[in-house]
Amino acid sequence: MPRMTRWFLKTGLIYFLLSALLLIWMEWPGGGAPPGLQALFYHLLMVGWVTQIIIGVSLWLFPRASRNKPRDVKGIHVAVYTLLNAGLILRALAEPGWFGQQAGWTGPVLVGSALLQWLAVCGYAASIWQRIRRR
Amino acid sequence: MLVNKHAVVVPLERWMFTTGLHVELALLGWILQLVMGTAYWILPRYHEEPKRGSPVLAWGSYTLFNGGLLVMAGVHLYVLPAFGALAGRVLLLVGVLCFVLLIWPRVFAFMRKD
Repeated sequence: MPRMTRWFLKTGLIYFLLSALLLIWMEWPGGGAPPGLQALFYHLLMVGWVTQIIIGVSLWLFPRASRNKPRDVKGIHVAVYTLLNAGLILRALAEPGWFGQQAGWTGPVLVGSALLQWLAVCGYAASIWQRIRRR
Repeated sequence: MLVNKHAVVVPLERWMFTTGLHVELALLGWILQLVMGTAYWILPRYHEEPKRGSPVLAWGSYTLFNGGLLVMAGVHLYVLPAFGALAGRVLLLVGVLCFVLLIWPRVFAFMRKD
């Protein structure tokens, strides 16, 4: 299994655990969970866990672009990993505050988080596009 | 959508509908379609052509599923009337049905005799 796949899978597993913990906090009687965590829960689960698993496995199993291009760690994959996770972490930090005050530092941070995740998706699409082909 | 939380890009009265579109595109357009595509590629193949099953069913599934998604996007964006949602859902369902018919016979154990 390539190194980047292991990074994506293990980070995805951590998000899976975090999303389950968040769910428990949200349901805990008198737990004091701030409002608006439901959207964060779904994004940690679907982007942090499911999407990250999909990216990791596709980098591993999809046909190689050519025999001359091994499945080594590539700069673009490191960039995708970094941008996606930085975007998610920023969102996790800002989302509860945004629901509390809907102003201040949280708005610009959420915009930054959106841009980082969008760039990660663009990078992933660009890197996997040529590998979706006949063997 | 996150940008909208900082500066209004989509008017708030349309916010819930945009959320619906976001969920449709992410869950059906990205994750479910990727699962369907990968299953079509990787599940056991037949010994004879067409090795991945009927191309009519495969193209039918792809076309109907994505047609349904486009119709749903049109409804969410107010390009199509609200009752178009039923047509969109029917297209999606028939697309999924084609996929099930296509994939069902390919779910078997390796090395089977028959």
